[in-house]
Amino acid sequence: MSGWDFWNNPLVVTAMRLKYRKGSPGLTSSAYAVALLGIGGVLHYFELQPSGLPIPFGRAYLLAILALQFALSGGMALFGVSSSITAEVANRTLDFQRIVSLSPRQIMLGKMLGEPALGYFFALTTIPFAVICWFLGAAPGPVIVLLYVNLATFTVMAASCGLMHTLVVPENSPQKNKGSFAGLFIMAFFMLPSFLANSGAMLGNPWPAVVIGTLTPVASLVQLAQGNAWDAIVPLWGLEIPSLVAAPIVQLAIAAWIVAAMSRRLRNTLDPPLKRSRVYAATLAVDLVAAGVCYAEYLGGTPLAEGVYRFCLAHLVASLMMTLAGTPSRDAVSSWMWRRRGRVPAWPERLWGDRSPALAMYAVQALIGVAVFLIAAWLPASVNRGPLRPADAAEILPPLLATGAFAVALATVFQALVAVASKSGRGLAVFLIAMITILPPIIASVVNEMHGGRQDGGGATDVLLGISPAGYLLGNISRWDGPTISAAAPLVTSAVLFALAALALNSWIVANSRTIGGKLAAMSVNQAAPGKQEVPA
Amino acid sequence: MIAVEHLRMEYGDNVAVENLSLEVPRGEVFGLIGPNGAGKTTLIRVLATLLEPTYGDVRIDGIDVLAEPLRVHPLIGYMSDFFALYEQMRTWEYLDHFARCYGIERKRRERLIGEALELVSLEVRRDAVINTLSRGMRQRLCFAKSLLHEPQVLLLDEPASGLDPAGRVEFREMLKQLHDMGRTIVISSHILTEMTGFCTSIGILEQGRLLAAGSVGDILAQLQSGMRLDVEIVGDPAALVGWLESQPHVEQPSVVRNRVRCRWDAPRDQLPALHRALVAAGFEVVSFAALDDNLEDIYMRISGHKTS
Repeated sequence: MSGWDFWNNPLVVTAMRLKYRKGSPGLTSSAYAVALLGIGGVLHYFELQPSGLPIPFGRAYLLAILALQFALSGGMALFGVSSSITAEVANRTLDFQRIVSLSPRQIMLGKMLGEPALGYFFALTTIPFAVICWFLGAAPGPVIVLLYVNLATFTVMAASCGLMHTLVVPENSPQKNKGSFAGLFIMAFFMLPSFLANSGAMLGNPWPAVVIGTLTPVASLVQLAQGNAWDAIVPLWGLEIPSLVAAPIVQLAIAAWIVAAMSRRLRNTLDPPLKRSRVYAATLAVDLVAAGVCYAEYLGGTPLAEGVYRFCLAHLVASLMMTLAGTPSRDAVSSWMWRRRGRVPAWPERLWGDRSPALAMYAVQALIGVAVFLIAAWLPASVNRGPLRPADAAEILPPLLATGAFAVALATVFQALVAVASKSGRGLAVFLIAMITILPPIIASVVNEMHGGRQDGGGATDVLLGISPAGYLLGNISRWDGPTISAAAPLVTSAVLFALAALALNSWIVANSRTIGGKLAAMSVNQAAPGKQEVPA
Repeated sequence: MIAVEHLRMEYGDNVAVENLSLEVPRGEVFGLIGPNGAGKTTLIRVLATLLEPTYGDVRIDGIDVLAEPLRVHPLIGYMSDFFALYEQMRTWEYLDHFARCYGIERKRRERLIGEALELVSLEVRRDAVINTLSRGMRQRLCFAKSLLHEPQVLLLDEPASGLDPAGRVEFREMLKQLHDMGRTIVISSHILTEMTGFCTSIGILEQGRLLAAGSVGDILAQLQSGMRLDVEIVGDPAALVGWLESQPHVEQPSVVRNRVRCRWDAPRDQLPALHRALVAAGFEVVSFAALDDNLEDIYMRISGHKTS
């Protein structure tokens, strides 16, 4: 079986076999078809009322079918795959699955494609109704075809999200997982209506338009309701890419990225989910999109010096997410100290290795952010409207440097606490980063109120805002017309945080190196390994 | 077939396996003996590529299990003491699923599933849904799954725990058959009677350390244990203990349930002389028996009976 022969994947075959027997998809799909007919009947009833439907019947029916199907397929894929993985881990059947001849990637693909089987039958059931809507002039044929392509990729992406699960037998009861899913569901239940209600306004802003238009079908469906699905666009460098085209590509890319990460976890749970090369690639991809939006805004009249703060915010969020996925755990760093340290040259190991402390990776991420903005936003802007003035450079470089410094410092804090305090360190690091982000702006607003609510910046308020990455970036975005918050406070804060975290990490590495050296000596193992010996930190 | 060198496994501050080196030749039935928490499961999971050790090299058929786990997978069959199954599948579907996962072609798959079901006496439950099977049947099905792809090495972690006495005997017979077919088997247990009779070599683990490893005969020779004597006399056994303490080659005489037990570290052909001396000393001998050490004796002599 080749890697691309999805339908002969044993996990897909078995899932189909079990679902077919257990759920009787023929019967369930027939019931679903009757329900779809019922929806059509209800819409027709409202069409016959004096007030009628706000949009033509065919389009309303198509939107209702697709919205329902997107929600059903996405939900079934997410919860089906997630509960399957949860059961496999909790029942330890995953152990047997891990030692077969299939590669981890084939196992993950099999889970991802096999579990949402019933969702496929439901999607197939809607196709005749969509064809009827097309006859009724609901939307052009290519739009309907692309919406179905989007449905397929959205389902795959949702299924891949279901794969994200610990692969180690949990110490907690599985009930806790159910609880977290219930929480997610309740959150979605309350957030979705307000999200949909505001989606029209949000789609007018290029930043949410990119996120909503690529990750969800909402943009295309909203624009279809307003008459033309092609109006849902993703603005990048002056190009207006239809969401119908961009979304499937992005969703498949995200699914591939998650499958790769989880396959790696399945191969060895000690490795962090993302290889460092993938961390760089993902940071680069997000930064390129952010730079593309920034440049599109610039073409629309927004100064680059203002857009840079939005770019920095996107870069910081992406960097911190990549930090979570690419930072080795305490056990992984220990394993590197036991087995790998000294067997390969230090710098390649630090840049590309899996288990050495990830400080070099954070620095590369920061450099990617600066380089991408300069190359993908500043350079085209200079080419388009002549070289930027030195004054512009003085406005653009400080936020880029401050953001890079913040990203490296916060990530180092995370790595240090994860290494020194293990699992509790992970929680502590997230709490600490959240506090650094949230607390100073709150104190700043209190201080500001005490000084009569002046919004002119400067003084203690700006220093407090500058301590927090959110305060610094959002503060500068919100008061663009006024005096900006200086980059001095962020740089000093980052330097202090980095120094403290690096010191703690270094002390732990030195102490651990000694302990491991002693244990190796007690085992009568020759520590000298082939290759260049790395000097302990 | 299996080579382990300087294996160390730490879970946080707990050392589960410490500096363990071991070789299991092809075709051996290697019994891992030790109390709960000795490191048996950890060692088997490392061999099965399910755990990465903290340190050490592990090779199966010359292949590094850490570097090339996918090449090792077709060589090994693994059965854990926690034999979870897919409850909604039928018996044959379960085996078919794993046969597909091992890339076995359709025709061969059908034949192998039939053979495996026959070996574990489950052919009549071929179409039964797994959640209707008894514990013993589930265990046998799990074992059939481990054999399906004809692995060279079987890694069995407490495979007979929970089986009734008849099931244990049946299971032992199956293992003997597999041994006769030339498979290398690593089997762990803390129930020594389970292992007696078919292990060609053993390893005694305690607190993560391998106290002894090799064939039963070799370990006995290493221990210079000779044999045990069991003597029953008419009258006070304490008097016999006192007399035996003064005899050469006799060690650790003690009274066990009104009989006297001791160790004899001289050749077997010198025993008649001891018997004659015993009678000449006026003891009325009811029975005088020489017993060879079994696994239990070896384990009790080597082990400090500690868990990690």
